[in-house]
Amino acid sequence: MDLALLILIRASTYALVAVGFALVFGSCRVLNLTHGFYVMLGAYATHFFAAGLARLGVSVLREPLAVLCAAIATGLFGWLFFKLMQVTRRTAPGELLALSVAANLLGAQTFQILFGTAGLNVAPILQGRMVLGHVTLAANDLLLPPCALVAVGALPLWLQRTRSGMALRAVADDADAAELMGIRSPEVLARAVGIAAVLAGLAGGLTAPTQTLNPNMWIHPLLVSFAVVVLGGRGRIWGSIFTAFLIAFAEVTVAWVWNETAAGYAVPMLVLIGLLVRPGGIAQGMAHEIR
Amino acid sequence: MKFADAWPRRFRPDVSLLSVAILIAVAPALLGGTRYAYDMAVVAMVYGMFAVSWDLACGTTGELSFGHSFFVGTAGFTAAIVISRFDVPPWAALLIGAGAGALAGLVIGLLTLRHTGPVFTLVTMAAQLTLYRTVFVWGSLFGGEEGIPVRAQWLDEPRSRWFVVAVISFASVVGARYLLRSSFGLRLKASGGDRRVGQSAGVDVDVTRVKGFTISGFVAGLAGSILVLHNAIANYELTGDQLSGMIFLLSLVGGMGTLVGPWIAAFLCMTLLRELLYAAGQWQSVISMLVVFVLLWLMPKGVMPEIAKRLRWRPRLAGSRPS
Repeated sequence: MDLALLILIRASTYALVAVGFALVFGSCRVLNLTHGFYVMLGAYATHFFAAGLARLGVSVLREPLAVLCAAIATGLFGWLFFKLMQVTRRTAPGELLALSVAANLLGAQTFQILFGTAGLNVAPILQGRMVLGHVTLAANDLLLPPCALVAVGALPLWLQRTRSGMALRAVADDADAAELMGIRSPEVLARAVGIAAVLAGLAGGLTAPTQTLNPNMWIHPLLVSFAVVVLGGRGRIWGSIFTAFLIAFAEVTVAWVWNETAAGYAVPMLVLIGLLVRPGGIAQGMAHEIR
Repeated sequence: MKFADAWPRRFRPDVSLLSVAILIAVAPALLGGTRYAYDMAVVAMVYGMFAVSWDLACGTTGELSFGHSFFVGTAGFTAAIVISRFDVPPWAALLIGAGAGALAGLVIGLLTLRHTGPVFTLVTMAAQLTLYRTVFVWGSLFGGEEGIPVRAQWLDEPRSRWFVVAVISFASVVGARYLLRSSFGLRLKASGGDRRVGQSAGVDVDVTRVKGFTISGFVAGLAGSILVLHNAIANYELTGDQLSGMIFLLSLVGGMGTLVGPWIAAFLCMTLLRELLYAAGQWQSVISMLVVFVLLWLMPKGVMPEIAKRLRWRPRLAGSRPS
């Protein structure tokens, strides 16, 4: 039971991070590797906004407000970055991949100098810890499953029911035909990237209190979302969620049996072995593609 | 009559190889001729080898590897361990390290046989991350945070060390170019395209690819072992995403598939750029990464192909046979 809760918390974090990545990959067939950086940006921005709001004298709901501001700021940043790439016509898969790797390293090194490697701490939204069976949980972590449920649940609804969601699906299906129908596909794709960045920023902000912020924290979320997309079948929402749970399960199990450091092996091993056995992804054949 | 045509074909001056030789020869003097200058040149030439080895595997097959530090790290740690635990002489350790690098290349080649595009990038990324974690998890063997100190007498005179590394680095560029111009190089290129087309031309795509990665791992491993002997330490910086990212980006900046381009890009980044940005202090790494970003943004195909296009100069790039 206690382990199940741990898995649930971790899986919802990963789903929150990865579903946006899956959305972007599914819709524009482009890997935006800056996604790991967005998670880091969300966490650092939460720290920044919390300090700023404290200086302004806001005491009510300061932490939730900071997380919200951080998510929106991250979304804006992601949207701007992608827009810049579009305006300068650097959206071919290889080009964007290289540029986003460069952006990742650039961001990581800038943060390293601005904030140091020592790590920062962020005040949690919910104070306190609770002991449940064998594990101790930070109360703040309990916010993750409901937030992920709302955000990830709203995504299919948005895709199915709203005009802008349908426009994204149309572009994903056939960009040329969508253009013919008067949909401006660059705008739609940039919006998708922005939404993905908001979700990543939200995940970063919500998990910030339970980890120390360091400039290398982008690589793990990037690997997880990359793995979720590839293992979960390219660009499928339900496959992504399933894989997020699988990864969380593997990590928690390894941490339980061995130790927390060795849990870092779980994702790379899952990727290496999973793709060796099933090159098309683990969740191959699951229905409900994004497009 | 063009200048180049005045020479018998076999002895035509090769501008790109010549520029590598000139860079190697003049760099220590330009940097001041001190011990520091020679050390910097050695590190730069090692990075040049990293870039060449990346280009050998990826420039030909067209895949983007984000795990080249897996080769470097495997080789470097192997060399450090055999020296510190078994007192192997440095030259033998160099060869053992290179062999370990080749083995790592073989493993990656086998693991990624079926993977192309983003999946290939993901698998290589996972491989280097596995090694990075291992360094910390098995701290007793790999030294953890502090790394493994390497105490070995290896060419302690800076000038002789520089000379030996210069010979090895230049030989790796020449060897790689020779290899890619040979029929094996053509087969390697064919294995990077549509695999059915390659097969129909009689190329055993799988075997060629694995061989290519093994050779690339050997070069990277040799360079990694040299770096370990030079720095007298093997630590987590030999692996991980920082080094992988650097190799990846510098090779792309130089011009994927040109071999000489990546070498020059890596060499200049580690010498010229570092010297120019000396005053920037701790912002040095940020500014040099910014330079890389802007260069990649302005010239997505790489600097060398861009220059060649502007000058209407057709350098004998790797893989294209002189006509």
